[in-house]
This record gives sequence, structure tokens and C-alpha cells, in this order.
Amino acid sequence: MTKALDNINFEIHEGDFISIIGSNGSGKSTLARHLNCLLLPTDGDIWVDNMNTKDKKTMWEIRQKVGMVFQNPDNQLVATTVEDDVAFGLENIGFAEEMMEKRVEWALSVVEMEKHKKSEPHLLSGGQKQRVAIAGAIAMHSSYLVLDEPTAMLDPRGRDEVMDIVKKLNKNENITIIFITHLMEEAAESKKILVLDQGKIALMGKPKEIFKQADMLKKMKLDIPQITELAIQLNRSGLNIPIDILKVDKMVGKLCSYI
Amino acid sequence: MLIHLEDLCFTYSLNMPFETEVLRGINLKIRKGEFVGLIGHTGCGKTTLIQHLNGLIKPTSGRVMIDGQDINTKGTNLKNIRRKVGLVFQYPENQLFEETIYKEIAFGPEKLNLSKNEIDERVREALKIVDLNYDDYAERSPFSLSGGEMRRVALASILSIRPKVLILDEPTANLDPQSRNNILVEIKEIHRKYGTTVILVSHNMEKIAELVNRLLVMHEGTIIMDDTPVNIFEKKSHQLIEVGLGLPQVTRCMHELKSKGKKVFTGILTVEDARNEIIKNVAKKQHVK
Repeated sequence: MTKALDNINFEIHEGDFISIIGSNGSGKSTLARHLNCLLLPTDGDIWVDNMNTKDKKTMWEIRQKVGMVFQNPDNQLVATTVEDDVAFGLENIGFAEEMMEKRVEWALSVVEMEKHKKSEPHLLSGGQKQRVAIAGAIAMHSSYLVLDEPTAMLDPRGRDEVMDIVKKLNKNENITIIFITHLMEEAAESKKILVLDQGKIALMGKPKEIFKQADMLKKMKLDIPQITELAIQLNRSGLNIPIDILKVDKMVGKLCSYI
Repeated sequence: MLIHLEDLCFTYSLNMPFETEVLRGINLKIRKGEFVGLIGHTGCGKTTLIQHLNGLIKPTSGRVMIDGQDINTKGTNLKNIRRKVGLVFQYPENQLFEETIYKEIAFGPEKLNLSKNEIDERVREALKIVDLNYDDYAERSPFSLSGGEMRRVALASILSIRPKVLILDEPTANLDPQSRNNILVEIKEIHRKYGTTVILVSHNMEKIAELVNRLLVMHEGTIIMDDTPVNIFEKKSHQLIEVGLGLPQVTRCMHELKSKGKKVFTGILTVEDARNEIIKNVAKKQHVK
């Protein structure tokens, strides 16, 4: 018997942008799947807007509120055109047809894919496919979006596209984001980071605070962003560079007075 | 020349409505013992290219020469080619199928009609290279492992064939930072110790830059750059970004300093390189004062 998750306690508030990081097998995906009743806890409870995920009566309501986007875009697109794919969830809940077109258009415009609404999903790039998957989730007017390593299979441009859209959703549409990733640079973009280690919450806090603890993270098979590592090394070499730098432009700003 | 591609072209669904030109006239020579990185955005033809190197795909036109032999001529024993050129696909753990890790890694050597002792030796050696303890792992099911361990078993099952050329397609996708480093350290070690020629396909600019001596950049079915990582990062950063690839954070940092008029070297591959270059420039400025 293996405890994949062990005594997890935390709250996510409206408008949060939380990254979950942790080694392979630390329980990230298991935790994510608990947030919309794909898995139910052996012990303990999960409440989504005061609804218990164990309560069968509200299961579909929870799933509508908590949208999910997975790693492999090819496994989650089902229809023959982009707009049909985005409408798929709405059709399933019997959403009124006259409002559907508007809703699909809105969702596609949020992810900046409106130009491709008639395209066939399999002809899109990886980043575009993930944006369509995100549109499908937000078309349901989800308040929460759980993304399980959405950029793992994408090239650098695809990653940037998805990250930009996720940040925009959080900022402009006030959608709460739970973002699972193995890339520390991506986690650095969120407002809060939750570190899982062997099914337990090891750390939780702002990226600046989390990435200060480089040694502890490395013990948990994790890392820190390259630019933060550079800051630490320059600091050790005697330059007055703060060790909690997470972004390249901040580093450039600090260095300009030295060079 | 170990690998020699001559005017290699490949078109999917030739003469069909969905005809797509994937490779357009690739010319490439790779010598024995090289460690080559292959990068490019999704759909640029990387995977199609490497599938040509052991005869999984036949070119529409052009030639694939391995050890001086055109592998697509009649009478070529493709089995021999595949022994020379080991290909580790994306997500190789999906291909695990045996009951035990021992059997999994022994599968290739068994097909080579080796003796029991030789097979045993190869399994032990392959497990050692990927840093899995024989006594702890040999009799376990490959399906009881973590993602990183499964990836290593899959790699070991190719290594046990002792290929001359090892091609890896995104070997670190989905792994946590430590597993990512471990796999790459192992690949580097294989290259150093056995002189294996390695072709590494990856999106991870940070790691690939540190590892390889030669970087190939593909775009829309052609190789648009073929140079050392230092030269590419120093001189061709704009083109890299234009074709949808990024620069490591520390390289970007140096380029931004340069664009602000600072005279720093931008062919930076690692955090250590960046630190040394910055410290050097700080000292220079203090000296001038």
C-alpha cells in the first residue's frame, strides 16, 4: 500500500495563481485529479466552493467549475474543427444553441485562436492545440483551471504561448490557476508555489521565498531558475546582487551599474 | 564517415491530396565519436530525420550512408544497421513490455544470438551505465518503477545492443530536474567512456548547450545552422528566436547587457560562464576607475 498523498491541507483563493512543483512520483498529478472528482480522497475532504467532492449530487457542478488541461494536447482534442472542439463540453451539458456560438467565440478570442476556428485541430502546432484545450475548459465558464504539465511536450515558442495565455486568464478573466510544471522558470511566473515531496507539502510560499531555499529544493530533486543560480553565484563572488532574482530583466538592471 | 546524408528529401503522402514535404535536401556528415545536438520547433522534421538514420523511413530521394554503405539499396541487411544505430524514441517507457527488468534489457542481445553469459554481461553493464543496482532491480517489474527509472530501463535496453550511434529523441521530457540531470550525465558518460557517437534531440536549450560540441538547428525541413553552441548563441541568437527557439536565461541576460551597450561576450552556455564573464567585466571597470 502506498500513500500517494499524505495529510495535505491548503486553501486556494479566488484569483490565485499557484504552481505545484515536485519530483516524479511526488503526487502532483494525483493531487490535481482530486480537485475535480477524478479521484476521491481515501481520507479527508476537498471542498470546492463549499461543495464536497465526495458528494455525488454536486460532482458535475464541480467538474464544470474546475476545468482541466492535460499534458498531451493530442489526447484531449476530439472534434474535427477547432470551434466544434471548444463547443464539445457545452453540447454535453445541453447548453442553449443560440448562445453557444457567442460563448465559443469568446473562449477562442481569450486564447487568441479566433482566426483558427474553422481549422482542423490536428493541423495546429502544439502550443495552439493546448490553447484550444484551454478554450474548451473556459467555455464552460470554469472559475478554476488546473493545468497538469501543459507545456511538457511543447517547444520553446509553444511554451511561451501557453504561459502568456495562462497569465492573461488569471489577470483579465480572474480565473484561478493551478499550474503543475517541472520547469522552474515557469513556476517563477506564478504568485505562489506549492512544493510536494513524497505526497506531503514540503514548502508553500511566494516564488522569491521558495527559490531562496536552493539546497532544500535540490534535496527534493528540484532546482532553481538559471538566473537565480547566477544571482547566488555573483552574490558569493562579492557583488551586491539580491539572491532572489527570478527574471532576466531584473538581473540586467542590477548588473548595469556594475559593468 | 560514420553518417553521411546526401540531398535527403522526404515527402509524406507523395502524390496524394495531403502531400507534405518534410525534409528538403539535407546534407550532413557526422564523424565517429561526435556529440551532436539537434534542435528545432515542433514539426520542423527532427523526428523524421532521425528515423531515416536506421532505415525506419526510406527517403523520397537522396541517400543515407552509414559506415559508407547506402542503407536503402537492395540487399542491405537493415538488422545490421539497427544494431549499429540505436534509436531511443520519445517516451521510451511506453515501449516497456517484459515481466522483469532483466528480461527487458536482455531482449535485444537475445535477438543477436549471443550466449547466455554474454547476455548476462550486457544486462549488468547496461544497468550499471544507467545507474540502477543489478541486485535491487533485475527481478523487479519495469512497471513498478518511477517515471525516471522507467526511462533509464528503456535506455538500458538500447545500450545492451552496444550501438555505435545512439540517437535520443527528447530523452528528458517530463522528468523532474534531478532525473533530467541524471539521464544527461549518463549519456555524457556513455559518450566519453565508450566513444559512442551521440545525437541528442531536445528542446532544452540550457542542457543541450552544455553537453554537445556541435549543434544542428532545423527549420522547415532544412538544416539552417551547423556550428558550435558558443558560435550559435553568440552570433545567431536573433535567428534562433525567429524560428521559435529560445536562449537559456543566462545567455539572454548577456545579450540584453550587450544591447545596452555593455561590451560583454554573449557566447555563454552555462551559469559558470556567465558568472566568470560578469566578474571579468566588473574587474575591468573598476580598473579603469
